[in-house]
Amino acid sequence: MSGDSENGGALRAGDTVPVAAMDDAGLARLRKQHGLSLTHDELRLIATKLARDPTLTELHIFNIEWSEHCSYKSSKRILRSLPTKAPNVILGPSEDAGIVEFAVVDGERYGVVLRQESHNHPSHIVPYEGAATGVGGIVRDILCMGAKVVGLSDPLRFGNPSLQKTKYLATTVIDGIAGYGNAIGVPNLCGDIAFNASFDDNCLVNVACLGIVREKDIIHSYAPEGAAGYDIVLVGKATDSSGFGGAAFASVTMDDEAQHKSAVQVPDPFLKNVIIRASYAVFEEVRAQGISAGFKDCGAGGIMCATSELGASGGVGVRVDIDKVPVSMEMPAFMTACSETQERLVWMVPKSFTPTLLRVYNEDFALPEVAERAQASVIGEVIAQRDFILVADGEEIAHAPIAEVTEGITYEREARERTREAREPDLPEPDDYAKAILDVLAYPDVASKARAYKHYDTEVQGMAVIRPGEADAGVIKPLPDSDAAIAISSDCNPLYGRISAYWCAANAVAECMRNVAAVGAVPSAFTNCLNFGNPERPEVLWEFTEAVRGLADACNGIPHKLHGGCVPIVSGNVSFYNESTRGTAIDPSPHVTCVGILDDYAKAITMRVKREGSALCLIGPRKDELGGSVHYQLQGELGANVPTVDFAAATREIHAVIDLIGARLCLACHDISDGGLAACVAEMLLGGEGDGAIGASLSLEGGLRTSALLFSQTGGFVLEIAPEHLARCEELCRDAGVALTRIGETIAAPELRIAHNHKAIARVPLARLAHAWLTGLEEALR
Amino acid sequence: MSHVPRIAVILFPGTNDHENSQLAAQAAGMRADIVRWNDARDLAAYDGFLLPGGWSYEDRIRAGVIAAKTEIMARIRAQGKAVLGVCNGAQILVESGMIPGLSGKVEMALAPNRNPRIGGYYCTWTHMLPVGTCAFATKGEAVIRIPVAHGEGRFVTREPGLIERLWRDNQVVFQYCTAAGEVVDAFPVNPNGSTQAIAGICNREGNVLAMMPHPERASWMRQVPEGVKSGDAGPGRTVFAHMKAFMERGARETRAEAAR
Amino acid sequence: MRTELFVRLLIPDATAITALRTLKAMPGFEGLGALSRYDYYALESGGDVFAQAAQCDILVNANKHKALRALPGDGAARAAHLLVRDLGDDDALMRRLAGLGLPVTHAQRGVLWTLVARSGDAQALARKAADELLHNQHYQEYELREARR
Repeated sequence: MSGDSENGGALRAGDTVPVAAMDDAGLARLRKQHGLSLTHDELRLIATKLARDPTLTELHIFNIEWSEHCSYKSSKRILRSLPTKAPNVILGPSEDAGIVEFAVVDGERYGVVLRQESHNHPSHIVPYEGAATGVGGIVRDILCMGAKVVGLSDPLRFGNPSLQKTKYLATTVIDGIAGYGNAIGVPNLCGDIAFNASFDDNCLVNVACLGIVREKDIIHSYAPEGAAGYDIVLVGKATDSSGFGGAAFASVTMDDEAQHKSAVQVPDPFLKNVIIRASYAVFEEVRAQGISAGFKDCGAGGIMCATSELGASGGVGVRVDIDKVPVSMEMPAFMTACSETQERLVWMVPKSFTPTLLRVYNEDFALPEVAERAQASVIGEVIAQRDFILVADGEEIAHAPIAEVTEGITYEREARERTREAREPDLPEPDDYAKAILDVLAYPDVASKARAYKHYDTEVQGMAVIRPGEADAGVIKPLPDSDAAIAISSDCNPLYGRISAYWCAANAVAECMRNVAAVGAVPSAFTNCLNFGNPERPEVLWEFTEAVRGLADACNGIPHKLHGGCVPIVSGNVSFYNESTRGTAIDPSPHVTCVGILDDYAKAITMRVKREGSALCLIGPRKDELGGSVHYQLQGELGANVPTVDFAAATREIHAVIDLIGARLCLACHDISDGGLAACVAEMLLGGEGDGAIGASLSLEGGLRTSALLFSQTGGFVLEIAPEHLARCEELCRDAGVALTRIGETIAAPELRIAHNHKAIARVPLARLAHAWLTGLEEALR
Repeated sequence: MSHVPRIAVILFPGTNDHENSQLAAQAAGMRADIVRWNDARDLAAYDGFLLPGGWSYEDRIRAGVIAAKTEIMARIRAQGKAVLGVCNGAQILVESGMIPGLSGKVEMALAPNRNPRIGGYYCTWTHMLPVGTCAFATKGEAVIRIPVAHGEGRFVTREPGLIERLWRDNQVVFQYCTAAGEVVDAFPVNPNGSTQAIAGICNREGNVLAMMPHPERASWMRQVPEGVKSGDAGPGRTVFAHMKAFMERGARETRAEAAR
Repeated sequence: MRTELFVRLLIPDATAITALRTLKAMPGFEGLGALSRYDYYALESGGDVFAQAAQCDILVNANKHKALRALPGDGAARAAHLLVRDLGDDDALMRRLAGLGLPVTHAQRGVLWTLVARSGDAQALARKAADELLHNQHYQEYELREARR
């Protein structure tokens, strides 16, 4: 059980490491020997907090617990300003996932469980495993609330698509997500992909996951009342050393590829599938026997993290016997305790329930036959004294106050405003507007994402009402006995972040709400994953702070349509250190995922135009806001006029759209974002499969230059309204203080005709629009 | 006293569509129990069986082959009752030899997809035409809009003359077609390169069907893309309705015989 | 020119474990002792592409695979090497490889099973295993291979 193998004197897991007295040279050697990523000050702090030197195991424990990934040391203070409380919140951010109210059926309240996470660094090094384990990890967070896992969203960011590396990463990440999500039978509901050079050396792979749970069946991530004496049961894959130190790894910038490759976890979606089914059976037993349990997934920091958090948040301690952990290889006890082997969960249950638990996993669902040494086994017990105790080979290798283990550390890092160099370019109007429109549609960020989602199972579980490609948000009807539906969308434009982190975040929230409103759902809650560079750089921390401010302002500024309070953020994740060793940070990427509720799935509408002779109407007047737009990117420019959000106006607009759709006054609706008004209308004509046959004639008016009218990405909506409903729509909008501007109509001829101030601008056959849009992403990745 | 047909929906390690299949069967008026592969209960109480989609045994060695060798499959086979195999369930039936079931040996394969555009696993909506009559379909009935989601859906055989025999003996049940009902043996109508665009094959008796498209995912109108969002029966319901009627007839005939 | 790749899993091979368990439960396989497996690829191109192919993550994932040019001679007298190949080319794989800078005119995939017999004729056991479980003749073929010494 040696702790190191490099310099002859082997440290054992329970040996004391004299960090308090070590000089810098000694600490440097220690860090190197043991692959530690804490700073020298942090290492000394361990001894201070414990009032003694740590054992080797305790050293590794704090190395993980105090990593950025686990402790949120750079972000915790800033995140406190996010709005997390609202009347529809069942559970805010404090456990494995957040839960908001979904529907009441037969007097029982049901919640939507949601969380988003990142797996950026592993996906850049080993894209298949990184993406797959990203899905695996977030699924466990949802499962561990006692919920049924019902959907996934995958916001992805890659570098310049002309690079071979980018094509390879994008293709392989998609394979990894498909390989895992499909195997566990969880449908892909939505997602998005964007490409820009800031992600060349550091792709972003975020995954959000949804679950459904009846409120009274929620299983918490903390030891329940009276848990002292409970068994601690580990379920899943036999533990190995994979991913050891992965949490610490996530806090290091891209450096030594070979070293990092070995830190990547190996996914096993088949085992996960069986664990999920078995866990659902356990949930039924928990309900039937009326017991209280704690349930938590093993993620960063493995068994150590899961057990200590279960204990600490329940006001109890734990005693874990490492020798009882099923392992697939020989390794030091601290590795067994802290490794990030995938597909593992931890239960805390009354001893009387343990036989049931073991029977369901080991016999009914035969985990040992599914994978070598996979099983459920008792590895320890809950104790009343609030200590975290690990025992191996009969000796204690760690014994610390449990609160000390989980509390983490906090920094108030320096923030310094980044000076903006953005300026508006002086570009000539396009000679050929048709070509400009086709170029925008073929742009990978705008083009059809079928290249990705055709590999994902979007239909499994049979709940899909609207699937990827059909509308701005995916929609599912998860309960057989209720018409209520969930809409979900993920968004964030990194180019906006390059100009202004604040507006990037505010737009992400507003845009996501618009996406959900465009299918008729009420935006109800958010989860998020904030992807930024190195927070030890003052400019990066400033951008992070600005983004958080933008999120908060938007969630508060566009209130919940029904209860009038904020739309709460109920869970999330922060991923720092996304940059290359050359020191270039990624564009600020505060990704958000919005969940909306429809009380009647039958009212959900897609973006595809339904008939000729309908009116096409615009909500959200066009402004000269092409900063960060696709059109500018195609001219090689960034611009400065990033879309801003007038929160009050956006509120009126979003709520009006929901009312119009809820009153069944709209045939189709699409929100305006990447590619502007032109892309929006084109996509409405094409439909998700690109085979639309109805055309449109747009007569645009106003003083904005034509290219701004067509391509500005100011937020808004285009609605298709049947002539017989137009007057009523105008009236509703007027009463709501929203301008509903008629911009044209659908026509029989299969083409898009655009006139500006009565001058013909473009006339493009649908077939050409379809070709550009359908092949754009495929061509980019070829 | 009428007998409500009851089926067992088999859950193997890796199965995914069992709950949705149970709901679809129930919506068609059947009773449906989800039965784990290692459950020892007597199967005689069931009038029929459903093998749902998913990745039983992780498709180890080949999709469906490990499940085909399990004890529960031997017991289901021995029951001689109606069996509907969907997607992975179809693969299990083909690897067990129950489909096409001419000789008891394995006479076909559901091989990896072949199509010119998209490699590997492919999820999309297409249509299928009922071209044979059996417990699950009636030849000449309406075109069925239906989704597929698989990587190994290509019916193939090296047995000379087998496909002709299947046609002759009314064992070809579904073919991929356009919305207008025209069978087209080319991508995208045929999503996986299956021989003659075949989507479903039954046994000689007509009570066992292996089909690659998913009727349980098209059992309600609200599941259909760009469709009417309602709880009305969807295009895939017909497969379950046929199965229920078949089992009811079987029950009636058995009772009539017992009464004689 | 044809390049063959034999790709071994460095982590436990669940497929081989399951295959062994399944065979041992079938009549006539009492003499089967052990079973292991390689993923197999046969690539046809202008020259020897082993080095390039071994770097291709979609064929050889350095995180969990090791690639060999040929079967290592393991000296086991009672070993039989059964190569099961999918008939025809894997077009999708060829497209992916071309995209990764490795254009090939043919790409065939398969599995190389190594059966070790405790008793009896390993080759006969391998053929029986192929006929009854390890291959489906309707889209695959098999042959017995010699290991290089």
